Amino acid sequence: MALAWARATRALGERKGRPMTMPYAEGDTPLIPRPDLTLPALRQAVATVVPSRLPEFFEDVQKAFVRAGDEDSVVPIRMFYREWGVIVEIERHPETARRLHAAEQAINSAEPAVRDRAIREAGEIVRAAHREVAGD
Amino acid sequence: MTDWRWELFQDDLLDGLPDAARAETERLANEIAVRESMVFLEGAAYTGPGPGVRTETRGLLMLTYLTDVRGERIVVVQVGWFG
Repeated sequence: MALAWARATRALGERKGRPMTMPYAEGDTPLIPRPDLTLPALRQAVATVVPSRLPEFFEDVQKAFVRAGDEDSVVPIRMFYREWGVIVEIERHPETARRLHAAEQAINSAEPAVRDRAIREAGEIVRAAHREVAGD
Repeated sequence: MTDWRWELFQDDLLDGLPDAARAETERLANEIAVRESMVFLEGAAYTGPGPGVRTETRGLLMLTYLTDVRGERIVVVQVGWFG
């Protein structure tokens, strides 16, 4: 598991130092800079922008490392970084996070047209955050 | 057994992915749809809170999706292939 961690850290090192871009609503000033995709940086970021999800974060760390050990692969760890990098990317922009959570609520509307709009809105936000974090 | 289905957020969502990724996406999305049909038994009559954005992984696939309970569907919004 330590080996998997070292390999993942190396593999992800190249992600550091990328420029910060702002695909979100104008004026949606980020609360914190985009964290590096490392465990300490992500943990600190989650604790700052979405502390209510820390227990889930730690649970996911545990699962990712167990899977990495079982499968002798760094893929579960890369996936963990990607998933939480995306969560942080959204939550560090308060207006974007507000829009996403409003859309998540609206997906429960009785009106199909409202649900369709909500899915469109939530999907665009999630996809934009993935593009930023994955760097593609 | 169920009217639940899965959809892609946009038609070109899987463009550029290898066949294995497409096949795995289809398998996992089907499974999630079936599972959701059993979790949200009320389907179209459901009035509780929905689960929001969720991510599931299997093998090299990372799939992010939304569940439209009243529409009895899941919508795959993002697919990552870590091959």
